[in-house]
Amino acid sequence: MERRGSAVEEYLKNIAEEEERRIFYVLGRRETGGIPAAQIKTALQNAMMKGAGIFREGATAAEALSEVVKLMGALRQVNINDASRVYNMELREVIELDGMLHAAYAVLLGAYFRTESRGAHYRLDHPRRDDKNWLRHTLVYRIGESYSVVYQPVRVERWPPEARQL
Amino acid sequence: MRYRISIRRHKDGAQYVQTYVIDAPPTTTVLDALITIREDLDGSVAFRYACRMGVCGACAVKVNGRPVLACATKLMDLGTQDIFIEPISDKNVIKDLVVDLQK
Repeated sequence: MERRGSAVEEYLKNIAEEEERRIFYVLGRRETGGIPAAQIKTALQNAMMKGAGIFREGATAAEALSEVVKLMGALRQVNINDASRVYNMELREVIELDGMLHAAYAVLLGAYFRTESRGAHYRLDHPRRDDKNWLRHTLVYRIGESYSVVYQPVRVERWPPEARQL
Repeated sequence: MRYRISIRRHKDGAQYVQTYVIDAPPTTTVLDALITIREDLDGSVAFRYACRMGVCGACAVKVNGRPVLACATKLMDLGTQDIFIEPISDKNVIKDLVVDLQK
């Protein structure tokens, strides 16, 4: 019992140390003369508006995907003027931006592969709803530096989903 | 409109006043001006905010001597282009405009 407890402790300690390393040495190292975080954020907002906005299209989603990959590279050269560990809002902003980029990538992957229109996902190149092929959930996993897209069937219980009648 | 915004900084035990000059429309809120300063001029300025619309109170600071919510105060409401921002009184300062709100 005691052995087991210390193994868990060890495991959690490793995770905490890895996260600390990521935050303070990968994201939070002092860097000037690089790219401002605000610039990356604006570029991400524009890319998402084009690629996963109101009117979507396969080609623009693909463009946005490559833009987000570029921005992930830019984040490695992001400016951090403030190296302090007390209430470092600039570092917080960069950590958030890192998460935003991964979330944006997952959204774009889902939008790119889903060749139908459904609810707020409106594809100009596939304007019809397609329950035969696309009545399923999109799951995006991040494994190391890569992503994998997995589909899961929708469990239909009492109310079968149907297209809205106008 | 050009505004001179001075901020009482409090960093690693040192206190000083730093002045930034920004161009912003008079309808800009004090909070948006602070965000502009952090994004464009000096990333190390620390301040707290959450809702940005006068609900939560996280952005309370003293502007030209009066305690206000930064997000609910427009630059034109201040009647001057010289703006002095400091942390609210009677609280221990953690950093810059961020104070310890415990107790």
